[in-house]
Amino acid sequence: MTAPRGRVGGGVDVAGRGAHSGIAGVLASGWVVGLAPAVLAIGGGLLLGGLLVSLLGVSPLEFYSVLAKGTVGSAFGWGQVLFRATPLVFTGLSVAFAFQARLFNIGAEGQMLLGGLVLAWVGAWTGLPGAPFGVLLALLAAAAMGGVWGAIPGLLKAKTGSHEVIVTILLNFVAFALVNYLLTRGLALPETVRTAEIQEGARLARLTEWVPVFRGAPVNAALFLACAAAVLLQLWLRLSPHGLSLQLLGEGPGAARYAGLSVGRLTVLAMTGAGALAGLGGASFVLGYKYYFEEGFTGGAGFLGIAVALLARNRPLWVVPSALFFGALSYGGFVVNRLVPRELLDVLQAVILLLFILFDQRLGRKRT
Amino acid sequence: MNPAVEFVEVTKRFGPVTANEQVGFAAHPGEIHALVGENGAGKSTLMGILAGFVQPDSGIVRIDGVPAPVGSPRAMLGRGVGICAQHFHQVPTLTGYENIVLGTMAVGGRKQLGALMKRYGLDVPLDVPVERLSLGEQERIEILKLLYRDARILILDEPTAVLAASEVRSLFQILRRLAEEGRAILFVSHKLPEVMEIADRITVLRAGRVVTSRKKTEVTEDELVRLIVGGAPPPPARWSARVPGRPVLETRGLSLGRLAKFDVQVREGQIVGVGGVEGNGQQELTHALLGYRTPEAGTIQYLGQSVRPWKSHRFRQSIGVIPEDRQREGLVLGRSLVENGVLGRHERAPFTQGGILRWGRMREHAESIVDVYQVRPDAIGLPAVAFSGGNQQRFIAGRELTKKPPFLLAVHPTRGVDLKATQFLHGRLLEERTNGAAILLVSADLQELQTLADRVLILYRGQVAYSASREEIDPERMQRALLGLAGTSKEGTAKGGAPSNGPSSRGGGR
Amino acid sequence: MIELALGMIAQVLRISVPYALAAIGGAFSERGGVINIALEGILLTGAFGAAAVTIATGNPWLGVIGGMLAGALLASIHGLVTIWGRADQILSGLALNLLALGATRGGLKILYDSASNSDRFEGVPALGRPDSALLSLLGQPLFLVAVAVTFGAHALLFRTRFGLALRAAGDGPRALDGTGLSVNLHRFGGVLLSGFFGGLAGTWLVMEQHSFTDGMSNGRGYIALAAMIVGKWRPLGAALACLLFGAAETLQIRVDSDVVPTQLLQALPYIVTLVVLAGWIGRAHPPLHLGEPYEREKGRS
Repeated sequence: MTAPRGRVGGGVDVAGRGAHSGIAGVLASGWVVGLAPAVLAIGGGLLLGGLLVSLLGVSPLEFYSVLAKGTVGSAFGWGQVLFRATPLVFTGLSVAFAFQARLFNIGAEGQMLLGGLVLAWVGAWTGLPGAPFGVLLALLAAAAMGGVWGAIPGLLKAKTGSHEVIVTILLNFVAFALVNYLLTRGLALPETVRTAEIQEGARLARLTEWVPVFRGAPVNAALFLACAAAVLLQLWLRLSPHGLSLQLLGEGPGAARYAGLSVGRLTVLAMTGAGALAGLGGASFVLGYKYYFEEGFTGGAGFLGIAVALLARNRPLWVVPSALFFGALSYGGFVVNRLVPRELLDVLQAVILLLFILFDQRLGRKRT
Repeated sequence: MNPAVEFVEVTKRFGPVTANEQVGFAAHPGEIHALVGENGAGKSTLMGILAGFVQPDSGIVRIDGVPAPVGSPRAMLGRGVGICAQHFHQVPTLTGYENIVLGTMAVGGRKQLGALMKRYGLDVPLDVPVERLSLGEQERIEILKLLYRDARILILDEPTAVLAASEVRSLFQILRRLAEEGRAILFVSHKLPEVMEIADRITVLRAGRVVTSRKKTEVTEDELVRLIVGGAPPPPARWSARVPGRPVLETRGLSLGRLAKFDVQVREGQIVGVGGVEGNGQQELTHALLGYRTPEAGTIQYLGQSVRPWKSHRFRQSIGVIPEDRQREGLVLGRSLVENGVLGRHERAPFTQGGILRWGRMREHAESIVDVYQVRPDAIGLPAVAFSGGNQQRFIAGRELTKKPPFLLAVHPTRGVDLKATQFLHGRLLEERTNGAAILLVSADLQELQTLADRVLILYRGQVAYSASREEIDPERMQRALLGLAGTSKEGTAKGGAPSNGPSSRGGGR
Repeated sequence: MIELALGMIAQVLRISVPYALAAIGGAFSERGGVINIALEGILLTGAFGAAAVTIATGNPWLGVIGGMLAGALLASIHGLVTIWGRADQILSGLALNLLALGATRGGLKILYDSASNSDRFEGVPALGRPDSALLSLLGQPLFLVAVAVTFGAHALLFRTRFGLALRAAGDGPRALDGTGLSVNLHRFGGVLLSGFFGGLAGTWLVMEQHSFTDGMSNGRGYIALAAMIVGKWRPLGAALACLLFGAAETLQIRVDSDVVPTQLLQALPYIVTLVVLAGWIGRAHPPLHLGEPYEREKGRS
């Protein structure tokens, strides 16, 4: 991650005046180099996964064919994968956003959790029937909640220099406790760990309403919100001066500081934005699937967001396919559970992550 | 007899930059062999190869006639090669003793060290973390380290840069003695008078190639200059008298860490130079001016108004700054010149309008800097890392000067830059002065200060130890002030007083 | 009253042990220059390894060794990936934590057919059966081992040639390289030690609890890292800082839950850590080259 990126010139006019090679050529090689570590890591990971599976006495061929059929082999499978990918897009964007300034947001899990609670809470008492107002309000409130929770490590880093990694990790634990507390203090229905259902007007439509083949799958309109967020973020990074500031700070902290960029302000901006994005991570589950908040609903999507962002090389648009991949692996756990413990897929994800950072480093060095 | 060291067709490239090209020469036992050349000529890389830190792309290094395995400090150490690098290879948190014995069996180390210190007159505290020692003392630790390991081939990379004149003399005595013991000494320097004094043989590197390698007696200093530069040196920048205008920047009683009660006034069309050995308060001064740290006391006035850069970025964004470390502080290396050209100004018009970045304007801006400041290659799409040091520095200067800042802070603007770029940058700074800019020039290079400055201040231990206008400069006194010998004019005191224990006092005598 | 106080002290010490061991491990890794977020996973793996070996062999001492080796195994992956692979140290640590979580969960299912915990087992037998809480702690062989490790670690870091070289690897790797010693091997040694210590910390946890439960490290590895920072990367300092966090956790357990809701108290150790860390950080000086893979040929200066 330390090597300068292959992208130059902000993506346009790469060759400049003294053109060495065609723009297309440079872009193409940038894409190839950008994708190569991911392809190698996934390939290597799947290979190792096959090995592990056969150690457990299951044929790798059977394992992967069950995995493929259950996930991307049917419309229902796709519906499940897309559903699981939706929060991953948000948390992936969250991590990628903070990483523009080379900050690690390990706190997406807690931010998403608190955001989810706020979604349910606001959704339960707003929701004018038939108007998008309720959805909008709930989303705004959740983003604000996540933003506040993300701003804390940003502020601490700016004011005291505390490392955001440890702070965000610790804040996750604080968020778990806080949510627990709020649930017992009246937010949860008696004897349960879930909240009341949200109003009709705060709900997002299931995709089955438009695409009947998804019948039964929980994928919903939050998917479009997530994709829109990715596109907007990509544009923002390209066109906004603050977006450029974040990237310059990330890639050359010393130079950015000397140039008079406000490091503290940008640090808070990066972490707040990251928190807000993660705060929206619950939209799919709370507004579009169960219509209530339930303890443990995040399912580790916050942590997995790190992997999603990493494989996407922190580019917002690439986050979408990356989230799809990890969404497929996540859902794949349930699909293969009758063959092997589904945790094997968690191990597989971690292995792919490790291989990716290794290959990324190796190939990245050749580029400079 | 075999040469102690022999380079045969050694080539080394770093990406697009060729550091050494087919280098070949030999150094013999008992010889002090000087290696000279401009910044970036490849001296340090070559010495890195000899010490095992740098793996050459091709070529052979023979030690005592036998090819040595390259790319391993351990192997080179085993062959008797020791290096005192420009940036000392020390662990700052460990004591001198720990640094010296690191990696050896320390049995009896103290006694042996005591003997070495006595024998060569290398007195230095051994039980203090080296980060608390002066650079001169750190260098003595480095030399002791080489002797402790009984290195027979000693590399000294710019050893006199951190030494007072008296210390240089005693270093030369030690070197002479070491050579007489049959060791080979490779002495890297760009100070030609010193080279002419100490060297037996001189090798000149230019653009990575050996230009010549001959006995000192076969060459004159003027010839050396021509060999180093590759022709007649470019004429130095011309300074001309100019009446300064109104005050632009003024500090009163500025104190921060080492820097104590610093007063300076810089007027329109004036260059004020701040000199001194590094670590005497220069960094505190720039940090206070840039707002990195809050001064403990004092005020900064800018265009008649009191400013507090550590509270607001407005002042910082209106001035120009050529930072000390161009790679870390001046440029975002992985980004193109387009982005680097507007660094710090991209959030405002004309580069941002209506909250949207204007990439076209940014490109035009980078083009114009590249044109005017003759940055090569003139490809604004390339990342900054692809440019040589001199071209990076031209680009930074261009970026800062095209702002037409009322005030420019230039910190070591020509450090590590070749002569041609240096003269170019000097010319530019003087031109800005003519145009009415107020310039504060921080530099460790006395000659640079004398060439450019209207007024020179020398910092020693955070205080102004010498201050003179251009016409009044007395080079002798300036040099002495630099080393903390101001206020005493007798030669005897100068010899006895090492810079670390000399009392600091204001210039002008007591 | 005295008995209560002594009981309290014993509890603080008991709770602090895994933190201290892990923090000392962290100090060895980071003194050499390698950030070790993987400590959390090392703790977990160590705990699982200790439980599995103890259950399989019936010998808790073999379990102790198994726990340490399991921790070292995870640590060595971290070392290989970050030192020779030069991969980002934080990311490698996070990935390994995910790996440890998934692997131990899967292990629970495969070995004990349970999603939450392993079979119960007897821990390391105590020496004698005193009735005072403090004395019974002192009679625990593992506690004595932990105390010995704490002081031994300090001596190893500050009194031996290995310790000197390890510190040099973190504060001035180039100088170490220049003396002919290997920067990478020393760093790997530091990371490996962090695996042994972290594994021992996890072992302590399972031996106390007499079974392995899913995710039982519960953030202790991260808190230990904070303690290491507060303790200025010194084994003894880190151990002392851990007493503070141990006290916070003791408080959480002991405070009457009618006064303050338990759910909020759960957050106490983390909040204490956050506050201390934020207040402390300005005074902490990490190893100078922490987080940087060593490159012999750097730049062209």
